[in-house]
Amino acid sequence: MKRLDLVVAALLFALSFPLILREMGDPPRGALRLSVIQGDSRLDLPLREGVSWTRRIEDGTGGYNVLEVDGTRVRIREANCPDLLCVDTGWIDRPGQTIVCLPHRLVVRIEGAEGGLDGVSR
Amino acid sequence: MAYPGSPKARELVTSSLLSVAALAVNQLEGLFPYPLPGIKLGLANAFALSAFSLFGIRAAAAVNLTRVLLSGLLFVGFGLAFLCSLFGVLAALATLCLLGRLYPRSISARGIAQAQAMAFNAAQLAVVSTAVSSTEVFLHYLPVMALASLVTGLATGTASELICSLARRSGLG
Amino acid sequence: MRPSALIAILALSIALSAALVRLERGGRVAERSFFAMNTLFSLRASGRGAEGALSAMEEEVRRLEAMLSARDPSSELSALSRAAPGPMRVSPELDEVLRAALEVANLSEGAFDPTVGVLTELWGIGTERARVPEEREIEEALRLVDRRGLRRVSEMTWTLGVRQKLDLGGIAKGYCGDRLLAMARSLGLRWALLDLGGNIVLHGSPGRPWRIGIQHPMRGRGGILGVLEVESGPMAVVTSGVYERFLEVDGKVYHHILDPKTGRPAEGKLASVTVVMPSSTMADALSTAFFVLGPERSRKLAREMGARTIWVLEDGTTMVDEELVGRFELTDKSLKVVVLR
Repeated sequence: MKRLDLVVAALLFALSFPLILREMGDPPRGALRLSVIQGDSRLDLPLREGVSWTRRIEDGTGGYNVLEVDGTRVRIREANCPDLLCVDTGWIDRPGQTIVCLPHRLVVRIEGAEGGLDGVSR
Repeated sequence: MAYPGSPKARELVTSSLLSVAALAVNQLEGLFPYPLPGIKLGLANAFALSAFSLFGIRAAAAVNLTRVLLSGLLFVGFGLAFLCSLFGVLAALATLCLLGRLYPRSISARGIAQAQAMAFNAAQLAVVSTAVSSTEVFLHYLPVMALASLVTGLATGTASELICSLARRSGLG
Repeated sequence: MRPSALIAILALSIALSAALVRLERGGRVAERSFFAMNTLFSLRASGRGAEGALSAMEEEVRRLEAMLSARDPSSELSALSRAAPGPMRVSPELDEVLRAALEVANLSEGAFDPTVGVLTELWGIGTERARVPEEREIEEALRLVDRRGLRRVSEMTWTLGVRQKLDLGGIAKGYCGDRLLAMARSLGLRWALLDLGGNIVLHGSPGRPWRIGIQHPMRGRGGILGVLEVESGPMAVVTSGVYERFLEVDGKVYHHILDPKTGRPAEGKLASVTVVMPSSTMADALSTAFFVLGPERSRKLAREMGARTIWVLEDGTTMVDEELVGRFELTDKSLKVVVLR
């Protein structure tokens, strides 16, 4: 193990720390939102446990993705993009996770809503 | 068995072999599931690293770029995955330029491989993030890339050392 | 390096990468929302079998509701009221709740009173028949509000004054909270955040302090006055406020927290009080009692019970227990803050 090896390894480890923290302390968030970005347009939709729906998103040139929401988890159920990687990604269910369909310029992302609060006492 | 012919010829032949091997591994890698489209693990970089170790940076550049171009020509086309690989490889080569001089005295093949892997992955991530105009995607997956680079770099570095010793023993390097 | 070592490393890196991919997608948080006890319950938890745990919790809530509901004529509580004077033997859980309710009733000298059933039924706030009763009706009802009428004559056996009615509305959700906490512990959940109609009950910790917002009494849903940080469960954060249920007649607002002594909504220029303590049952009952008593008269009892409080007066003045000051961050800077010592 050479001197710089240590430096490189240490740097990478440091960079990966947010991931380790994120996984160890999975943050419970308040009501979740779903942000759907297609091209230049953006939609914010609420996610509620027990509420399921699907929505077809078109990219204006014949491409489409079918977004399926089941409570607080989301997936692309079907699409007509050439690689279908968005469909392969499967379900996402935590804030920060994304599903991307590049051919259709689509990004689906779960956001935590209640401004970093876990709950509100009322 | 010593390979007859000039060192230049040797470099050419071995580099070609390495490129093809890299291409094959590249395609196999593609079967891997990954959270984002177009992004590869970068295990194929091992071969370029070997080329660097045996012949120098020019050979490394040749091997990597040939692999990317051939991959685009023969297999995946010139879409996003191609751009990812291209910029990834360019970033990896840039890293190699910077750190290559310190090899093998201050840094081992593994260290270089890890740094290369990080550059490779970060560049791929940057391409995808730009394509969807989302810095959050970049930030969210960057730590994942760092961790992955630690591991794949280790594998790649070790692999390249093995490839080098194999090449030298069989007279190709 | 030997080829076998290389293969081992390659295999390891492949396995690790696959694990990374799984990590990105895994670590599910279980969530469950349902209506019970006339309000919305939202449960969230993490740990092995969290999904099943929440399912069991929902069942437990429904079971307790069937036992403790004053509104439901078929509940055990209603049966006890009807059986007055009794004596009547009750289930262990109802026995526990009654004992806790009586304890708070005595400690608060009647500011919290489980025999307030006749009064709450008279006003009916929160139901369609809500109305402002006549003076005479209130006086009559007050005669039947007396905690001395509720007595435990022997193990799990209770008597109640004739024509008295029990209402455990101010403690039922709290009791639920403690029962669910016990379940979370025994099922080994890593953490759980239980929102029982606004009562927040915490178990464990997600690797960092909990951040609990306190409803701003003067703003609508979603408006908070500040954020309370809680290191880890078990802890309950219960707020009693005038804003949740009320009746408005001729421009006057009648809120739902009745003073068992006057028979009318508690007066005292209070908008809300929040109680923070490990026992959910106590937090719930005390938040009602404290609201009726007001900050001055609650001080001693709060200290004795280890209850930490945050008060919001009608004029917006916010009083924060000195023990909470370090962990409470005011969001609405326009409010004046006083530290309670």
